[in-house]
Parts: sequence; structure tokens; C-alpha cells
Amino acid sequence: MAEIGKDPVPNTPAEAVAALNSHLPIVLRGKTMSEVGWERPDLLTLLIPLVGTRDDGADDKYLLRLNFGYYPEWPPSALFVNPDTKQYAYPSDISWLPIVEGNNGLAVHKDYNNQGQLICCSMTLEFYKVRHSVDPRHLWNSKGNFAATLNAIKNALKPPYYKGRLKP
Amino acid sequence: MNDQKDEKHEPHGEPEVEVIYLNTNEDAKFHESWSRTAQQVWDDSYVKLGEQKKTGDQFETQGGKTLMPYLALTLSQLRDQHISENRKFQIKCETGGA
Repeated sequence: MAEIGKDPVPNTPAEAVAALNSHLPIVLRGKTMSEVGWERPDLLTLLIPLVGTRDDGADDKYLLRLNFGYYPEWPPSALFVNPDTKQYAYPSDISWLPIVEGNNGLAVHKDYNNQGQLICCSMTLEFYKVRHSVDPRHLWNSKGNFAATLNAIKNALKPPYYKGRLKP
Repeated sequence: MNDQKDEKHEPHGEPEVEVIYLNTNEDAKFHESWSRTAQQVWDDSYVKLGEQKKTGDQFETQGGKTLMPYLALTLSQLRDQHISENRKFQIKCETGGA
């Protein structure tokens, strides 16, 4: 399970896929993948369209890629990606990142300490890979599921936190 | 108006509430008296969901409106003041980061 100061350890693919298969219908709350526009390009990856809503109500579209290679002992990897390539390349893809301000539980870094994009939140794998400090009460709970990741990111894409698309 | 109709048709006059726990997207549906406060409904939700309340948790409508300033209001007051008319709530948990 997730621990402070410990390097994340990958799960076996079979166990990670089984956990994702088990949690997917719970997180979807009765809807299908196609109904919500999600894609599963491989057994351990989800591509999830998200919308950032600015203070004036204007919307911007984003694509979130979740990978479950370390799941469920550790949270999913979470990255905003270029919708054409489904990847994130720095610095060419920074316009596919949202600007999030004033949210104590989540920030988005285009290149955190030369380690690439970081959705800085205790519900993402990258947060633990960069050994970010964390309060014990915010640790990922392996008895939960990736709704925690998705809902934290969705919350940051709403007013008053979301401030538009990052400019190159 | 719909809620007034609900009040007549709910068993024993107790409306159904729905609470989603956003850390898992699991939900609980249960009946509460119109005189129960938002604080009491929130506390009852943890029992129904089998979760433990954590520091930093927040009680919201499912539209994302915080109910923290209104925890002393009853379900009927939340309805009458148009704060929550459908009794659909969610529990948001704090994360670390930023």
C-alpha cells in the first residue's frame, strides 16, 4: 500500500487489470464507457475527456490518460495528454494542460523538477514517484478506487480553481 | 412543489436521500425525517456507506454546492430555502498536493 517516502511498486498486470475491471462499473455509476466517452486503448489504460469551466462559464476540453500499472496498491498514473498523440511531450504539448490556481489539494506542473508533467495530488501515482511530501491523512487508500483521482481532478477544473489553458 | 408531493407519498413522511462518497463513487440511499439537519444526515451517511469521517471532508449537493454553512438547517429548511430540493448529496474528501 502507499507509504510516505517509499518508491511505488508495479502490480502484476493480471491483478491490476482485475482491480480495474472490478472498480470500473462502480466509478461509472451505471453508465457505459461509450455513454461517457471513455476509451480503453489497452487493458491498463483509460482515456477520459474532461472539461475545464472558467469563471465566466466558458469551457475548454482536455484529455486525461490514466494508467493502472501500479493499481490498486498505488493510485493510477494521471496525465493530461495531447488528444492527437495521446501522449505528453514537453514543451510542445503544454497547451493541453489546464491552469489550476488556489486549490490546496491539486496543482498542475508542466515539468516538475525536470521529471515531466505532474498533477500534484496525493491521488496520482506521479505524486509518489517524485517523493512529494504528504500529510498521512491524505495518503492514497488502496481499499478505495480511482474515483478519488478522477473526482479530485474534475473538482480542480471548476471555478474558482480553473483559470484556462496553459499558454505556450 | 415536487418535494411537497414527495412528503405526502414517502413512507411515514420520510423522504429518501442519496449520498455519493466521491472517493469511491459508492452511494447510499436511505430515508430520513424532514426534521433531520444536514449535519445529522451527513453523519448518518458514513454509517450507511461504511466509511469513516476524516478531517477535511465536506458535505455538498451533487451539483457541487457546499453545504458547510447550512449544516444546522433541516431537510425541510434546505428544501424551502432552495438550497437542496432533491436531497441528493455528496461527500468530498480532502487531498494533498499543490
